Amino acid sequence: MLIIGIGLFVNLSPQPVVQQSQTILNIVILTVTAYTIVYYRFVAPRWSTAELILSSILVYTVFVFLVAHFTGSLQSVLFSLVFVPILITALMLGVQALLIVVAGEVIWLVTEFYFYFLPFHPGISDPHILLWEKLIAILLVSFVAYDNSREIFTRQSEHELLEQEKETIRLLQEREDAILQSMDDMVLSLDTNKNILIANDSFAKTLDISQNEIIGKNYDSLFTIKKTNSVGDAIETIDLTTITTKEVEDNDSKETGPTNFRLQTLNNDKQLFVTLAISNLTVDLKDKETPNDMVAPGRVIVLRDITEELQLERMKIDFVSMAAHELRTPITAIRGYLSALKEEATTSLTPEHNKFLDRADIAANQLTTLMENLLSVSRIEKGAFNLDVRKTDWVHLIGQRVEELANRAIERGLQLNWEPPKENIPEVLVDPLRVSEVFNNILSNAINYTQKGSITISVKYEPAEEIVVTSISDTGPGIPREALNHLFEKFFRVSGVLEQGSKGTGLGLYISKEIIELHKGKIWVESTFGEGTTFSFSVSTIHNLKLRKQFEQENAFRV
Amino acid sequence: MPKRILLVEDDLFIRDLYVRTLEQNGYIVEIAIDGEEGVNKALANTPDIMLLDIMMPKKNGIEVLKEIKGNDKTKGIPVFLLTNLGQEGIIKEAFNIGASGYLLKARMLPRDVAAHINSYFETGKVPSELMQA
Repeated sequence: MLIIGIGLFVNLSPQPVVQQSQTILNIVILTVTAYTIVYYRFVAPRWSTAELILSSILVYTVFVFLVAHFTGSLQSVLFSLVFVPILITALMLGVQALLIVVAGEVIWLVTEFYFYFLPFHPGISDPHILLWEKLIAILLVSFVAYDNSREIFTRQSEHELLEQEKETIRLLQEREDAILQSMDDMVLSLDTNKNILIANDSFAKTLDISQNEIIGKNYDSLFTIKKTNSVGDAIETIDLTTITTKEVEDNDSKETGPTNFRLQTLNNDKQLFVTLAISNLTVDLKDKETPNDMVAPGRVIVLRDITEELQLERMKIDFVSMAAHELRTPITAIRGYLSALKEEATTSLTPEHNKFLDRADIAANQLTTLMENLLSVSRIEKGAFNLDVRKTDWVHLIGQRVEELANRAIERGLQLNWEPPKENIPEVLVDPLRVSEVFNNILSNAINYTQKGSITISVKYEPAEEIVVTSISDTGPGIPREALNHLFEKFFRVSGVLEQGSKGTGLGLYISKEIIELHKGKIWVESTFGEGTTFSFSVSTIHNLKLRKQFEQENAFRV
Repeated sequence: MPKRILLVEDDLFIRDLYVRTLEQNGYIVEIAIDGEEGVNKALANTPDIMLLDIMMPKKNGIEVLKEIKGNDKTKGIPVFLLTNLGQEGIIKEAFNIGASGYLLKARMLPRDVAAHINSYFETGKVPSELMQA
């Protein structure tokens, strides 16, 4: 209304007597209008849509009156131009621009009505506007029209950009969602109160309910996660919101054997073995202007179903155990019959045939060792290698073992030195059968790998640590320095070492190490290449009360 | 008077081998080829010692041992299990039921088995730490 008022005032007072003042007034009004527009356009940061509409109305008003001024009537074809910016604006700004169109129309009609039906204001047909006034008016109108259209186009393109961005975000979200949903792994996001924020399709399928039913629920009402030991018995229920990554990864403790996690669903009673990967949501609330529920601190949990893999793993172990058990009977028979043949048929066979028999016997013995070793490894890895610890007279035990192998050393022309220590050695805490295995293995190696010279066995009591250290030194070829560190590894063989009689399996020392470590002892080797090797291992005496208690707790110790 | 041994073992080869070695050592060996036959023969004619395999058809070694030790007529028979390494659980159970000892088949040649049994009859004790758990 103000603008219409201004327009009317400018144009309705062109009395000849006040011609000069009228002109000045026109200039003032045009300047004020221009200043206002420029001020709002450039000084004020940005026009609102309302300002844009008002300025448009002003432009059209001025435009209408200018045309009237120049042509002296409202019949000019120039008027048709008034619709151009109106239409453009309407197209660009959509619904809001209807106001402009309507306003433009109203002004147009009012002006027309005024000029045609109120002829007592004749000044309009006799314009006294100066040329520079006209030029300023034209420039002003042109500028505002130009600026308006530019603004409109800018907004239009901004609007398009915004739409594009929205579309891009939507696509990204869709893609992320597609990735999440198509993952075979189960993905969960929890807040600190155990409420489920996100659950993917794989998880929903496991629970047999839709994702919508899962989201927002407390996970306790849907499933539990339990830590299990190597045979699948639950040890404890874990809290997904508090368990640390370290606790999750530290799942191979010596005490309980390899542990796993078991997911148990409550609605359909499914049981799955899973691995867990946990990451904390670390969104800084201060920096993000996202809705609160999206940034509540919590964690993302990825669960992978490994039930099948575990079954395969178990089958592999069971297969090895089973194969070993099944192989034993025929091998026992082979060795038995060979030994019977050797005992009874030696004299009736040629030396060559006797050699065949010896070789068959050696091979059968190797096979037995290999089989027993494979079985031991399988049990060690299954965490099922149990000790039967007893108070043992160590010197007596070593004496027996030495005696058993003495013949083999003599056969190979080696001197076997074993002198029981003079000092009194307390009883030790060992599984005699298992430790005998270790001792036999080391002593057999020494006998097999030593070409000439001697093997010395010594036993020493170290009261400070309450341990007994047993050492077996040989004058064999020694072990190359680079092999020393790998000696106790599974399937490691020192290459290039001359072997006679017995071929190693590469498992003996690995098993020995595991057995000694189960006894909480140590095993080590010192060797000078070309001079000889000393293997040593320690076992604890019965005075190590702490260890005794530990064995008792592990149910390994029987008095 | 030679001692009588009841050998309960399902594998023919091993059985023959043990029978032969034990007979060479002067024992009278009676055989049973499965657990059920083992129980019947022990009841029919009480042996001086019983060698008992574990994995057998019809009745396994543990079941046989339970029946032998649960019957007044046979519970006095010393029973030695013929076992393999890695059967600690079974061995422990067997000792709880009343087994006298065990022999690791794969570790011992028949002559070692005979030597252990000789030693048992001579001393009345279970010879080495390998025989008792």
